[in-house]
Parts: sequence; C-alpha cells; structure tokens
Amino acid sequence: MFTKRDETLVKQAVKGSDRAWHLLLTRYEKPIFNYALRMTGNADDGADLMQDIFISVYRSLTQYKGDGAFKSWLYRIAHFRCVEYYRRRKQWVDVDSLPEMESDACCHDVALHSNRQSKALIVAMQGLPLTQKAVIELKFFGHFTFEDIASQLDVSVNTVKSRLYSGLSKLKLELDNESF
Amino acid sequence: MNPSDNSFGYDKDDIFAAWLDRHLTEEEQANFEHFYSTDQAFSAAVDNAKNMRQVAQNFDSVPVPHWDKRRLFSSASYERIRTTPWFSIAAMAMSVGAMFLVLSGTQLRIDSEGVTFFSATSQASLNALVDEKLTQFHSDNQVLLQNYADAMKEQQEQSAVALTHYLLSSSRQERQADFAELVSFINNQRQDDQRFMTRQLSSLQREINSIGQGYPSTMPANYLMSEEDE
Repeated sequence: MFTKRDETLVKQAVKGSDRAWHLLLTRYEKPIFNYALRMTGNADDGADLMQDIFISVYRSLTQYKGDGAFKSWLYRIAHFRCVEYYRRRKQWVDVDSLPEMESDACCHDVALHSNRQSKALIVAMQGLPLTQKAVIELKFFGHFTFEDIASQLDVSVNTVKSRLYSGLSKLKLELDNESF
Repeated sequence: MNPSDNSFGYDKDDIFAAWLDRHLTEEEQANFEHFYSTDQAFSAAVDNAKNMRQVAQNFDSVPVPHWDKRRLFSSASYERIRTTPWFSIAAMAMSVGAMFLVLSGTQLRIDSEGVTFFSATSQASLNALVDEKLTQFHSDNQVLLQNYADAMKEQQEQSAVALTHYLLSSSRQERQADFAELVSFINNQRQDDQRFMTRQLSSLQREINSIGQGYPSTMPANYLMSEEDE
C-alpha cells in the first residue's frame, strides 16, 4: 500500500478531507504525545499539550505553504505550544529560570508502559531547562539537523550546539543520579 | 555553561555536528577518531551523545491515551470555524474600529439628553460650522436690517410726499373758499352800495321833482333816519 506524503495529506485536509487530516493525526499523534510527555514529564499534561498542538496545527493548516518539511513545521508549532504551556504553568516566569519539576510524582502513569530506562530518561529530562530540553528532544528523538532545530527555535546554529552540549552534560548527571 | 567548555574549536565543532547528523566523510571520520582519542572533552561529549542516542533508541514509546479526536476535529461547526474564521474577522474588524475611535479621539458623552459620540476632529469642524453659521446669521441680519431701514425710509418719504400733497391741496381749497367768501362779500357790498345809490338817486330825484312842484329843498326827516340805519 502506498503511503501518501505529508504534504499531499495536508493539501487534501485543507480542501476539507477529514480522512486526510485523520491520517496525518494518526501518523503523528504518537510521536507528538511522547514529545509532550518528555517535555512535561506527566502523561496528563502531555495529553493536554498534544491536543493543544494538534488543535493549533489544525487551525493553522492553511498557513502551511509546503516550503519545508511538514514535520519541521509541526514540531515548530509543538515547541511554541510547549513554551505556552510552561508560561501558563509558571505564570509568566522566565522559562529559562524555571526550577525543575518534581520528579517523584511525574511518571507513575508512564511506568505502566515504559521500561526503567525510559522512565529514568523522562525524569532526568525534567531537570533540564526548557531550552536545553527542547534541543535534546529535537536532536535525539526528532532526528532534526542543527539547521532545522535552529530554524524551529528561532536561534542560531551555534546556540543550538551550545545548548546541546550543556544539556547532554547535565542530562548525564541527572541520569547517573536516577540510576542510584 | 561557558562556551569554552562546549567548544572544541571550529573543526571539532563541525566534526561533532557532522557525526551527530551521521554525515561524516572518510577524512572527517579520521579526524573524529583522532579527536576522540586525544581530546578528553571531545570524547566525553561524544560519549554523552552516544549514550543519549542509545537511550533514545531504546526509549519505549508510551501509547497515546484515548482522546476523542473524531468528535474534536470532525464536527461541522469546528470545520466552519476553521474554514471561515468569522470570529477572527469580527475581532479584526472590532480592533480596527477601536483603533479608529482611539486615533480619531472619539469620546462618549452621557448626559440628560442621552448618549452622544463626538470626536476631536468633529468638534473642530463643529466649531467651524457654528462660526460659519453665526457669520451667515450676522450677515443675514445685516441685510435684513438694511432692507428694513430702506423700507422705512421709503415709507417715510412716501408719507412726507402725501402730507405735502395734502397740505398743498388743503391750502388751495381754503384759499379758494376764502376768495369765494371775499368775492361774495364784495358782491354783497356792491349790491348794498347799489341799493344805497339807488335810494339816494331816488331821493334825489324826488327832491328834484319836488323842487319843480314847489316843495322845499331841505332833506326829509326819514332820510336822515334811514341813513343812520344804513
């Protein structure tokens, strides 16, 4: 069976095809939910964030001009919604200076479906600032290039690299702490 | 983190990024291995990335919890909202209207006569209009007053002419009446004179006649009495 390209499905969805939209939804709901889960550290918040992301994508679908990969466009919106989520959560406190989330209570829903290492990763990622967490997420789970990540986050490539190095170092410490 | 802690120099940065993107050429692969074996910071970063890559590959994706996406995205009302963003259009129109009201300085006045909208520009134009109306009213009054004065002057002239004519005509009639009375008086005097002369002549004739018949020539007594009566 042929798999339709994202851009084709988007065009059909813009023309009113519910089937095309639901194909896109089915294709990306799991990656986006896991993205939201890793970014929020909580299954309920992750589900809410996923719905926010897809509603935002659905409303903005006509603005996608096909001049880049749909996946990049989707994750760009996802990042904006994630930043918005943190802003709502912290009442306009600087997201870079947010204290880390409580790690004990964040993953009990996930434990049913994840192995120990995955759960440890989710907990460890909550110890990173949002900017570093976003870069690691997009690089190692989204498999985007540095240029794509820089474009999605509206920062320079060097900033992306810097955040990645810092995030990896800090994440190693967090994972080591989790293993103990 | 300090940038110096992150940076391996231009080549190391590029090689590390190329390795992460899995785009290493043979030459870059050789440099990568060289840096990995000689640079402790580089090798630590690579190890961290390898570890993270492995964790990501082994990550157990969590199943998506149930959510009613059919109902959320397939309802006709939501479709209409997406395809015809009337709310956005209405919001934009109201925003433009609000901006117009702010920029034009429109103000709302509530008093006993009701609610009145007025703006700075309309206030100025209103003042200009009032001034224009007042000037127009003033000039109209001037013209009206001038016409009234002219009419009064003409009426006075006509009255004066009429009075003059009246005076002239009435004087003439009085003079005519006076002359007529004078003529009548003179005529009466002449008739009296004629009667007197006739009586004198008659008396004289009778005296002359009596002289001829031997009567004395003195005047009779009734002659003197009649003269005094006259």
